[in-house]
Amino acid sequence: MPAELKTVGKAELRKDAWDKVTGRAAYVDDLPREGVLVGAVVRSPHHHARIVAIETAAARNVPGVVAVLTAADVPGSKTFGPLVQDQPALAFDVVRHMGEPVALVIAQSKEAARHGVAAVQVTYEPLPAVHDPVAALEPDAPRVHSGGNLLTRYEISEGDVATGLAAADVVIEATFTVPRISPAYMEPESSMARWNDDGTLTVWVSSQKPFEDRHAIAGVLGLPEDAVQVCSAVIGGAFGGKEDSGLPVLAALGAWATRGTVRLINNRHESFLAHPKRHPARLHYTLGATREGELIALKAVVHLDTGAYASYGPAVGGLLTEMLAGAYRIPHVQVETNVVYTHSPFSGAMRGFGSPQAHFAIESMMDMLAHELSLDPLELRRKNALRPGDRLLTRVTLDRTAESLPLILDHLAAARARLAQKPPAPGRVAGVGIALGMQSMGLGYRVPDDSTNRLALAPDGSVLLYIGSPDLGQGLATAAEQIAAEALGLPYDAVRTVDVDTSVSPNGGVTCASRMTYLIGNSVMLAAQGLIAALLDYAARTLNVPRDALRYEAGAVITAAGERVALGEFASRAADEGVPLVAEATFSFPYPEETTPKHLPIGMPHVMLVFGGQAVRVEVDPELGTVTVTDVVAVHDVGQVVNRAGVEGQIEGAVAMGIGYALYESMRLKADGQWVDSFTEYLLPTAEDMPQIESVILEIPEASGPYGVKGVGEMGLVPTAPAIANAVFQATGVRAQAIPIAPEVIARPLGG
Amino acid sequence: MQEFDFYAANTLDELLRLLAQSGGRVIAGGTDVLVQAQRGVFPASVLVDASRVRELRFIGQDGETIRIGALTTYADILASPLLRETAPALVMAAATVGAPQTRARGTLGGNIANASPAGDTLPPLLTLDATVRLVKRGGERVLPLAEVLCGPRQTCLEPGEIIHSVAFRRPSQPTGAAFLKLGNRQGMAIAVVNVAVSLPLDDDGRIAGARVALGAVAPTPVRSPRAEAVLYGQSLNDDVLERAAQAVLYDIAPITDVRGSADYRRKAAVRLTARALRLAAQQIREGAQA
Repeated sequence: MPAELKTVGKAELRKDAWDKVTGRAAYVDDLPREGVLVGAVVRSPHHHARIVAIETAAARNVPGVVAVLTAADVPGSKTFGPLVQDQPALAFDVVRHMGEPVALVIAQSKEAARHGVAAVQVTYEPLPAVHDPVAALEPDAPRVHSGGNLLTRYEISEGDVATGLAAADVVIEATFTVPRISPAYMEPESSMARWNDDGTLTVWVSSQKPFEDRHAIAGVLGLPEDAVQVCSAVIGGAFGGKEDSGLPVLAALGAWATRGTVRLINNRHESFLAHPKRHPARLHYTLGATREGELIALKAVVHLDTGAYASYGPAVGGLLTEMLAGAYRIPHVQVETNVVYTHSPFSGAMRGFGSPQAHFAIESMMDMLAHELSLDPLELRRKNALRPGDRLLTRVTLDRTAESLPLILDHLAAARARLAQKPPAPGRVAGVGIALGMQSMGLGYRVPDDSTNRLALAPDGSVLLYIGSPDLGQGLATAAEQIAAEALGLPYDAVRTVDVDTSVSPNGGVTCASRMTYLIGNSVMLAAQGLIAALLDYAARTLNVPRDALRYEAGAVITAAGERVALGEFASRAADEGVPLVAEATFSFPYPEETTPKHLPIGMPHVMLVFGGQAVRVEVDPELGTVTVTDVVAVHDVGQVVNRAGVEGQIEGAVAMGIGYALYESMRLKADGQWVDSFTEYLLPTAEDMPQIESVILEIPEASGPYGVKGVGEMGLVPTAPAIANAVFQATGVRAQAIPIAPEVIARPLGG
Repeated sequence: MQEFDFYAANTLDELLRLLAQSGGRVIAGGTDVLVQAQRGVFPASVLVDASRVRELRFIGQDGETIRIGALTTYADILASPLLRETAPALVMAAATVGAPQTRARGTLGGNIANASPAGDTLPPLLTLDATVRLVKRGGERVLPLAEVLCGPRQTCLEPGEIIHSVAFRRPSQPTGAAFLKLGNRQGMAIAVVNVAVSLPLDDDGRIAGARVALGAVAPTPVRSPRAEAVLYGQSLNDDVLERAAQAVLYDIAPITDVRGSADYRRKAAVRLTARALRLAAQQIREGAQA
């Protein structure tokens, strides 16, 4: 790490901040309205049904309705999907979940579109549905797809679990249940598509993956990819839920069919039903240890409800499997993860990508084991925490990042001692719980994991950053600008990001997996070297001096005589001459041979891990069972901080999400057969529910990271829910094995 | 979102005329109507906006009677010194409704008209023996609140009839009153159970006519005559208060729904009632010391 950083690590203001707080930022809904048609989707009211007939004539006759489209109107591939092409653009033959798109109405106004939707008559023959991932694997369970309900199964066995459990002094066993979670971003899914006179399409998206959207749109419309231009609008949050091309595909279909411009925006009810959510899961754990608390053996069997379509389910199952043993060394491990189709709205990517589910189980088990052995839960963790050089259950060898674990535990010990001093409010009981967390960075070995980004010198001497992956609102562009400015020795204000547009931007990959600052940062640093080289080449030609007589320093070319010529002079001259001063670079996520063996028990193991831990104080009303989180101390190793406010924002937002996971949120099926699909019943934590959050940010540099950067996007929520459950146990002696924790599970019996 | 024909009234007369002519329903703050309309379940296709009718937004005193206009917002209730003095449980309830935005728009009349079993202002109004003045073209009537609420989301309002105002008598004796609510989170919570109590003391320091009312434990907010009977004529002591709280179980019939089970609601109703009674008793003791 260079001794003195000028921009990286500084609290630079986000350039999108003013536009966002003053309402000027252009989300898809803010794009021009004139002549824009409105799309509305007819959705399945059934969990599972055969489509007998779709009658569209009446809807076509509704004044203002321009087109009514069904699967029969899809010109290209009827289905799409990132890993398995099983998701219909519009349902045909059957519907597999409530809310599935069946027909698309395009109209001149919202009202006409709504009337059109009401006038589409779909005749269904309801079929039996299954919503439980265990029941769905029974031989006589209703089938979601013809190939059976098991989408993917992962099995890993290391050592000999039976022998390990037999040798253990103590064996504990428990089943954990975690809920279906909506990303609940402020901006629901939205897209606008325009048919151009030259036979191409321009599609604006609120998406984590414009390049993959382009691929899906081209496939469904039977167009070559270069006939589809996808542009990123300002994005109001994503969290994994915007790794789905469903809405862009429908907007594009509408524009293609009408030769017009069509905007499609999900309402919140549609967002709940028809976009990816965190997988609900059941996790059965058996953990054996010595009397002294040394972990010997772990057996885990997991069932993940992936819903009706695969989305990223297989990959989530893979990462969850990697995380099942948490941040601990366990010699004998046998794990099995089943990713199962059901007739529920589909699950997919969501912040943490399987890690939060696994950690709720393993981190609860660690406290249960500590209780069983009368050991301190923190010391139990210290005794078993991973160390550099340990081999994970994926057979990946852990590198130096595990050095952070003892430090994290030290901070947690201090935080716990401090929080334990606070007396509870009258009538309440208090408890402090801790949990560790581990999160991968990157997509995983053997998955293409590249990012290409471009720097271009503008005529005014400023630098344009053609970012290859969208900023979701987390501040990715700001971090990339800071790194570019640092690498070029320029002030932060001299670098400006150009939003992703597939016709001009390089492909930076999907914004996901806690990897963007690391990946883009590295790529931008390489591009900065390229840009400096291009500039010096041009300067040498222009000044007619040998190239090696010139050097670059902080925004200027220095001649042999020591004369400084400002970057801007060359920039404007090159622009006049039509000489582009541009550099593009690709950085590929490293999978070094020394840590990543050739033969692996799982398809795509991750080799770079980040660690964190949280201490949580709760107060519980023992009579009513209500839990209030009063304090969270979040300790995370993020590597070099690029922007502290950004890092703290990621951690605090993640903790809020973790509190919702632990105490409030669950998209479940109600007694009337309807899903919880509104914020009236799906409770998010409000400002009044938020505790004091203290972020303790460790900056242990990552050698392969730009200026030592690691990642922070996901892990902030990984330890939160189990730390809360552990704190509730400390306060009440009641162990919650299901989240969100129901007050009635905690409440004392009547008269007690 | 449902579609509506929409009328806006500027005066009470106009409101009554528009309602009679259109057969529509009143919208005031919209905090309930819009939520239902969003789901397409609001039982009307014509809305008449009452929010400009200033004559229905007041808090006033008429001798020993306190009157609150139907368009009085929760925020108005919170800001009223008169209500803080005469109806502290109502003020406590108003403070727990929704978020600041909801409290700035939502109205007392709306809370009654919505007739949710969980409506937060309803138990306090029951403990005040509040009456509701209903007005329509060419007539008006005054009914006890309990008679206005006839089922979950059902009132006895006739077509064209509106809630004009609510009235109750200023307590004539030293009275402790409290409202408590159990929600599933701190902010913007719908009650799993809510409770209001009022404990007037007679000259001998005995409980005169206590009132205990609960919400979200029956098809409408209900009083608990059994609990009130336990309290009647007793002196303030924790044993009596606890027995009264246990007695609410005879007067409630909670259901299991997405917010909580029937069993949990029974348990919570007893505990919340006990706490509300202790809080009210403490108020009286502090009042006596002051």
